[in-house]
Amino acid sequence: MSKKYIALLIAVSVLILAVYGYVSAGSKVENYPNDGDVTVIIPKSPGGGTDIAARGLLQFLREEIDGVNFVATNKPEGGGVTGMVTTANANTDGYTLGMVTVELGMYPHQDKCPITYEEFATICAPIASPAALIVAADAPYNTVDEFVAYCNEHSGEVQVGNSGTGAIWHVAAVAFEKEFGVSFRHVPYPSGTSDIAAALAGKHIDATLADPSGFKSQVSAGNLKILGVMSDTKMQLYPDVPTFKELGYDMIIRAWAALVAPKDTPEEILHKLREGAARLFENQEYIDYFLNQGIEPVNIVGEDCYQMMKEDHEMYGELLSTMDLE
Amino acid sequence: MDVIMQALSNVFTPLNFGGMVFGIFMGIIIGALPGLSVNMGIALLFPLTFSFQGVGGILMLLGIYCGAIYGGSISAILLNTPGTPASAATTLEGYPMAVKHGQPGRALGLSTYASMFGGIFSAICLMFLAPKLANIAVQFSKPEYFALAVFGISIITSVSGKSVTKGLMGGLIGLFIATIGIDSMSGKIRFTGGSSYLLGGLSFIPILIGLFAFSQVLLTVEESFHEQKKIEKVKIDRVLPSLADLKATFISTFRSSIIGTFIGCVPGTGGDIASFISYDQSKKWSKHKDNFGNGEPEGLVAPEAGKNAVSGGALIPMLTLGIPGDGATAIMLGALMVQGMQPGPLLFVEQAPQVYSIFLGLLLANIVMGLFGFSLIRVFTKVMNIPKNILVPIIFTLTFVGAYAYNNSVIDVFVMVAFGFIGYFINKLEFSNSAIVIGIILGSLAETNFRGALMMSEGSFSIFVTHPVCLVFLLISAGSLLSPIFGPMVKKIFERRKVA
Amino acid sequence: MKKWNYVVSAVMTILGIAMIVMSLPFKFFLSSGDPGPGFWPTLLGSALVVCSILLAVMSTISAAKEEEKEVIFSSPAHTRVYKMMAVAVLFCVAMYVFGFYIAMMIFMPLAMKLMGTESDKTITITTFCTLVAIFVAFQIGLKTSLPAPIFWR
Repeated sequence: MSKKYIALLIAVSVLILAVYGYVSAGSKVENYPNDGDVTVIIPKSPGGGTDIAARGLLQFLREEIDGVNFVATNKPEGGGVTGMVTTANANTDGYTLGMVTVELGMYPHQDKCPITYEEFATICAPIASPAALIVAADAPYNTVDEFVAYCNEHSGEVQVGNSGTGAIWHVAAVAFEKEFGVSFRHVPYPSGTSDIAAALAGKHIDATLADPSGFKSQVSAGNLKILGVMSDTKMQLYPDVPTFKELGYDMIIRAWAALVAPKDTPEEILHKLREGAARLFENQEYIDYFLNQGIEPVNIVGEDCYQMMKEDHEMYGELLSTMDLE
Repeated sequence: MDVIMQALSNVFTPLNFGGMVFGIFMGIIIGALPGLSVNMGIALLFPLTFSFQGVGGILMLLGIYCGAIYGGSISAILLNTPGTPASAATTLEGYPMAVKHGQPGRALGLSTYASMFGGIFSAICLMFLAPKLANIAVQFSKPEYFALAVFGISIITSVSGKSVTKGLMGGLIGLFIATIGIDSMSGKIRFTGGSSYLLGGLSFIPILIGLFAFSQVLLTVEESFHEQKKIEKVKIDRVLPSLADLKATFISTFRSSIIGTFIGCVPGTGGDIASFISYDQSKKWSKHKDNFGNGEPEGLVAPEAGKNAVSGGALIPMLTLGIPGDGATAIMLGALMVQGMQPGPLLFVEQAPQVYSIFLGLLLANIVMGLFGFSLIRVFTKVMNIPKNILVPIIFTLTFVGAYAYNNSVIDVFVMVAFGFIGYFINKLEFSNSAIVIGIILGSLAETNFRGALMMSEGSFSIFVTHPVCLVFLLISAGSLLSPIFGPMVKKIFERRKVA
Repeated sequence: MKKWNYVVSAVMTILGIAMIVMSLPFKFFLSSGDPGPGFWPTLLGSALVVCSILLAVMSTISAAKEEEKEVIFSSPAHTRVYKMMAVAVLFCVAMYVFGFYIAMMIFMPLAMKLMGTESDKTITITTFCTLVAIFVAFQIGLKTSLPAPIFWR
């Protein structure tokens, strides 16, 4: 290559480096978030449940915080682990955030993930979908107790769909088995809850314990019914469905996704973000966005979110150590 | 009638129609560039749909959907590089027709025509047969999915080109690649060697880009070595397909449209499976079997019609049952629900105008996509005229960008390059890229449904025989797999008898 | 081709056996009678071994036909390909260390020179146009940022 070209190449490289340097060096905490784009790493593929929820969250959060520009990036490699690890190791200047999902509470116990909730500072969790017991509408049982009785009569025959062995809905089903002393036939549908919905609608399986949002259409159409839900409080969308808690069984299993920042991000930045997040629930459009998709939004902010992640981490630790995944 | 008038007024507002056209345009570009996936495009533009009222946003997403499935064929035909997995089968006939026979215009014209045909056909099926076809979707359980996967794998014999054995080997390797990562049936981690990258398995798109695009780059580097500097400008032959071509390919197009619509209906299967099955069936029933692999028009229209017919098919379970037919329709489902529309049997009753707007929108999207396509063919073919010494480095760079952009992963780029090298060498040794790709696409479908079916039947293999649809597919697949081996033998026996 | 068929056959046999060996730690059948994680990969490995033996056998039977097919791996044209492969590998490394844009500015001209472009002007213009196009399309349009130099991460 000619000398002129090499000179030009060096000049432009220096220019690029200078620009990069300027952009990243000058950010101050007080200026946050005006010094650039805030990248949010979503550890799932575009279009999936977590992705849509995250993008919705960011869309509305943008309106609550002045001057912020969120740029969502999908990093589904490694089953989501790589994305979460990248967020944990990112710069603590607040310009890199990420989503983490309930797998963060489970995978470390299964040797699938090198980090835990302790690597993050939480901002908010927009969704925490509970496991719901969903069965065919014309099934001969109408309550959780009737279902348990049926299971006892047909031990080992009742087919319960889940999203993959070792994944959250399987764990929920195993927890159910433990609590009620029954025995299911677990049938994994690794491609996702819509396959489970199709299988239930086609009567290929008997029941599932899963996040009810993927089944909303079928329930509304009267093909499926929900017998109970494993959450703290009743669901707004299904006010007639009892929680397991009020039926006397202390079971809370939820698939959450949370917006987090790397552990040592400055308090002022976290405060700005958490404040903005706390105001989200005042926006009816935000709530409707989720409700329309059959998802019940939650607004677990800051410390509460950290507590939830901690509790679930400990719960799954206990549960998974007793589960014998052959 | 009233409902249809309302639907028409919905679709033809400047904002909605403009949005759809914008979507189609973006879709074609996203489809044509390897590494940019349909789902990525739809997910990116999904927030824009909030600013639309009612179905407007959905129309834009439909535009992207149709445009992207079509766009992938442009790079498949001109550069032997599928822009989306659904266009991998298009390279088999499209590229030879464009390059070996110097008829890029004819190839692109046939592709556009067939894509449009398939899309419109599936839109019509959607309009008139949605509830009936939706029932089919629900009948599919694990044994049926397994049988479909086996059938898909048996297609390897069709796409293997010169050596069926090597094709099978490639397919087996592809199937194995699909096993790497977390085994969701047992929760165990397989073959990752402790690497967290491999936990999610080897990414498919970088492998696709490497095997097809990058190895083609290397091949072009080799083949153009002896080319003279002055290249003849490729003459743009006809853009619109000739009447002769239309007549010859009609049956293939029609059959493939049926296949594509049906596959679209089945949740969890998409354009990639539809395109290969359509290609395979087209070859099996064609009188010009021997011309396949050499730019045979019947083999070009088949995957085109098949993959675009998936668009209407996938909307059927999405609208009637709220169960998405593929990844892109899953996002559209979300967009619909955000606008307050609840898919399911109630949708057709309570919100008929919206539903008809969607039907009309799909129909229109395919027509506009076709028009776009035809008008841009001359522009696309100009790409062929760019001197190789400039074109090759550009594509080289784009493969790197595409492989990275898919998952924001640098390791994906390394994987892409590695498979590019592998692809270059094995293509010289008569292996088939498509066979490996089919293995990867169908690997988990086959394995998880095989094991899942046995889980449901408590270990009894009879489940595969008692389900009629499953049994039929398995028998056809057996025939397909064994015919290249036993076919010639049977022929020889008959010939000996004749002589005797 | 016959020689290469035997090579392929040997390599594939080894691969197949490797697949079977790697699947050994996983259960072939679970206690419930269902196939375990080791079932399918073992099957695949075995089928691969069978196919490669078949290939070797068929190569021997139709030896004459296979001998006719020429497979060349060394010629001036091929040397250029191998050089391009080296460029690709170096590009990967450079991309990881220096970031995408800088790496591109080094290796795209290299690739063009390799392909026989003589005019420096053409090289410069093409490289910069492509760079700008990629920047606009990906960084601005799709908001995907391409790898940054290693010291910025």
